[in-house]
Amino acid sequence: MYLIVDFLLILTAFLFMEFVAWFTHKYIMHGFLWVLHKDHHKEDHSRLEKNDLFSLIFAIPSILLIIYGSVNRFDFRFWLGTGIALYGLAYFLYHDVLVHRRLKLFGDLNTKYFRAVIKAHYDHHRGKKNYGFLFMVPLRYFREEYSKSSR
Amino acid sequence: MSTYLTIDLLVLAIPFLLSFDKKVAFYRNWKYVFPAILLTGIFFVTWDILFTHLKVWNFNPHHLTGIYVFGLPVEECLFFIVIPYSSLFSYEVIRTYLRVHKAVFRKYNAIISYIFIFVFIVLALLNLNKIYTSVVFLLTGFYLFILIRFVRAAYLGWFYISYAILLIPFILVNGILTGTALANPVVMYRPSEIMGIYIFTIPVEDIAYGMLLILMNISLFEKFRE
Repeated sequence: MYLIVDFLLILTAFLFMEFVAWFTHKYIMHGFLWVLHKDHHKEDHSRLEKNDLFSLIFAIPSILLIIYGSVNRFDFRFWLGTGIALYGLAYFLYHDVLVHRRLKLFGDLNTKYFRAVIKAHYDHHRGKKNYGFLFMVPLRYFREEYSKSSR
Repeated sequence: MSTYLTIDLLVLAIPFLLSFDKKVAFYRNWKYVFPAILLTGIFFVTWDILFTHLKVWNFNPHHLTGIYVFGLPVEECLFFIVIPYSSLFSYEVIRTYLRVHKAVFRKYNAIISYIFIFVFIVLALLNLNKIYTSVVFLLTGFYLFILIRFVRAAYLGWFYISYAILLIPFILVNGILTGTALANPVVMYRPSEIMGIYIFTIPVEDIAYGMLLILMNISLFEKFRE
């Protein structure tokens, strides 16, 4: 029972973080903190970018929740912090490794799902409006990929 | 007559009488108003029964007539009719008289909504050990998210302006209910289930509660009127 609750807490934080990332990306990174995000919208992604500061900023609530939760008998805060951290990891693997290939870690993850979200993110870099990352992506990207006949 | 019933009737009196004035003619909207109030009421009464049962809040019999409906004081059930009625009336009056250009809303609707959603969900998640705090902020944030993202409700701008204005009577009425001007309050909250941040005697959670109550009414009202 407790395991299910803990899992749901992780899942909730994970899902909510996509909303936070989307919101921050759309209204803050492409808003008043564009100065930090600008260097992510150039061709070369290999070196450290000012944009990487955002991962540090997002890590703060995660760290605080994990510390605060762990000294309070690992209550719900610990699991929320863990969910945020896992989102950060997923985001890094998806956005920095799979999309922008900043680390040569994996080969191509050639599934319909990833083709859809990666295409959505490339389109963002080509000037389209969509700001989501892992799943807050316009439905048409998924529709397109899933309607193609499987290879 | 009980204190709580007097408050209910006072809240209803002026909006009801002014419903027949010629410019707004609110009575012509009754066929959309009452279904909206009824549907929202079912949701809120169910929630209220549950929270009363869980002793999240309770009512002081001293201020009640002693008539109970579904285990709730009849005054509390009437609350979910008179507050929505007055709010929808005010919303219509504000829409009629206040001239704001539509472009203003188109520009700020989304950002204002998403800030509310962000703040509400964060408050809910940080207070998951408090039932009222977590439930009310989660529900309000979620409802707002559906309205802005999926319904793409263009009237949200009007809602924000209306709610900002309605906060004045809201604080007055809710202040009295929670004991601002009374020797003992009509409604009492269990301290362990709220954050303990108050506006006068009103738990700050009630701001989101009132928001959801009025928002649900307005969204259904607008849906039926379409």
